[in-house]
Amino acid sequence: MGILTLDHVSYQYEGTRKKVLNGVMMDFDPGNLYVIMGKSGAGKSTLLSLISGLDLPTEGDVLFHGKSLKELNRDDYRAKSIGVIFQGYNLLTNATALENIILSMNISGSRIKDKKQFAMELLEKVGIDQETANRKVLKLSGGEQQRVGIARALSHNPDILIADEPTGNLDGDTEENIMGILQGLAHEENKCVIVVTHSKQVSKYADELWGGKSRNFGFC
Amino acid sequence: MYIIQNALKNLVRNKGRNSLVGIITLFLILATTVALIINSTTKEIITDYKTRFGSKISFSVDFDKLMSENVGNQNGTMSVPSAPKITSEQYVQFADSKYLQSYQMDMLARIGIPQLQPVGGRMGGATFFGEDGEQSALSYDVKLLAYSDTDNLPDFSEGLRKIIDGTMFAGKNECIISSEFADLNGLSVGDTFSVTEVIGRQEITLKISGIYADATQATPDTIEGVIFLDGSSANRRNEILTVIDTLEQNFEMNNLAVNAEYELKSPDCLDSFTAEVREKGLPDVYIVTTDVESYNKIVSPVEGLSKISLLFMAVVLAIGGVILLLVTTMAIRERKYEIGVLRAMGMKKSKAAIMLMAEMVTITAICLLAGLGVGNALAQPVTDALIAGQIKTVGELSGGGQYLQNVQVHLTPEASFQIGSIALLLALLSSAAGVIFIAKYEPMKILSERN
Repeated sequence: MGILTLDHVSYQYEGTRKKVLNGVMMDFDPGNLYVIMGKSGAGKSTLLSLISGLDLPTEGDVLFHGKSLKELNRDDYRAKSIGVIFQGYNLLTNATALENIILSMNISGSRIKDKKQFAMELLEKVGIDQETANRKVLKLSGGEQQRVGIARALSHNPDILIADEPTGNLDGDTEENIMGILQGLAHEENKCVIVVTHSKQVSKYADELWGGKSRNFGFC
Repeated sequence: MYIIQNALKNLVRNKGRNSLVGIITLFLILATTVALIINSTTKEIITDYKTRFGSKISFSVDFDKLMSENVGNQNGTMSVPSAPKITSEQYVQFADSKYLQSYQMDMLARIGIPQLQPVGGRMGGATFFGEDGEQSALSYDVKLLAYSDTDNLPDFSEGLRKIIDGTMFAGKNECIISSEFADLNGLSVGDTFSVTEVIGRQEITLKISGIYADATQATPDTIEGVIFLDGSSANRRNEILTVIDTLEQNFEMNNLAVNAEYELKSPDCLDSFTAEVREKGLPDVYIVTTDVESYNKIVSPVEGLSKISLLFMAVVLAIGGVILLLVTTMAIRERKYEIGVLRAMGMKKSKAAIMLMAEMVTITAICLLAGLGVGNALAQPVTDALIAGQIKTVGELSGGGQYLQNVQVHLTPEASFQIGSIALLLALLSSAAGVIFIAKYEPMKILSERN
């Protein structure tokens, strides 16, 4: 059993008859970069919300280290064990980029002493300079917000990193840079990295590719 | 700790929204402060007056009873019978009661000083004759006044009289005299001199413990008994002051004029005190009362003011509370996304709620400080305007009276506590919408709605 297991996971939105996910079985191990590809509306984002503990499956189970998320404290799970890079960024828009990172570290209970410096290093790693880091998120471009989202997901050193179209708003060079970072996290820091994307470019980085012409995993 | 820091940063991040909430809260706290300062002060005044008027005893003649008791003795004449007098001895006896909180008694002895000169000369005034007529004529030269409450002597507490040499009298046969009387007769502190009570003719020796400077009007415009007009005894520089014991133990009580004021421990003691004074000989034609009517006349506008302030506060709080709730509910719709992001990052519901409440408590605390300061300053002019209106209204209804004109309001500990409690309630009210929202919605729902 891997670090994260989807055990016959099905999901049906309230008030609908159709299941978005139906009996999904997946196993994720540390040290790998997984890429999940699928058409729009296929249920990729729903799958990510179940993996990230934002929601629970209507059938089946999501297991973290063999324990059902239903039994775990999902707030703690989100704060400490996983990092999520949202497609819509989901940053605090009236706070600065730096404040977003520091707040995420605080919520996770990070014991790093100089959080500001650590946050700045993370931001520089994803290509955000000091001046941009101190600007309100609302005044950043889509690409800059995406980078801040990545830095935030990395801020509390999670075991699992989930990314929903992480390079959707980035140029080719930065995409390469970001995917390099994610690959490094998987291979060098033994993280479990799960990426959902449309991009065939991104799929090249996959250690294991799901969906598309590869393996069907239960998208309806 | 980071929750509080983030809450404080949020105050600055969302200046517009927080300013609006702050203005409404400030207005509510301001109105509450003014209303509660007025209400608590007026309550103090009402309680004080109630105690004073409800406890201050007066003896008045029941004329119906007096007339009915004397019907058999009228012999067809229409004259009003006179009520039996309460004697000086009785006044002293009545003062010895467990139902009294305090009493103030002053006595007057009419004194002749043949060996000394009264200020202004021995001119006019009354002359008392002994059994041998002209041979033993003694003029009423000066007043010997005795007081039970030496801490609050008339004119001394107002600053019109002041000891300038020696000390206040402390025991029997000690006295203080005016500087003019001392200078005229070459008397100084420690000297003794003889005085004679003009009716009973008892002679006693008084020792001067102190000399006072007197800034009162030497001869009052009106004095009791026209017969003493222009006499030396009417000159206030001739007043010799001493303790009650000096008069009580040296002279016949019947020859003294006694004035007594009694204050009950509580208005509830009235019946018991009445029974006791009846036993001590208070004639049946006297009724023992407390001055409720005077209380009503003086305090009516203040009671009106108290009610108005409470009504005003209730209306402002009700309307303002609803507005505050609406504004914060609308504000929370804007903050949905922020809460969703924080929850998605793993912030617990309780911490998100604490963060919202910390923001509102901080806004309320700032408004509380400002409201207390400004409210305290506004309370007095508002009170003055309201009391003037109340006096006018009550005066028109009751045909006038001697109402309490000035009410000095101040922030009491009770009012401070009440204002603090209301501020806390406002903080809870303004954060209620957010807390309910946090408890109700999951982050996935909030974020998916936005995305």
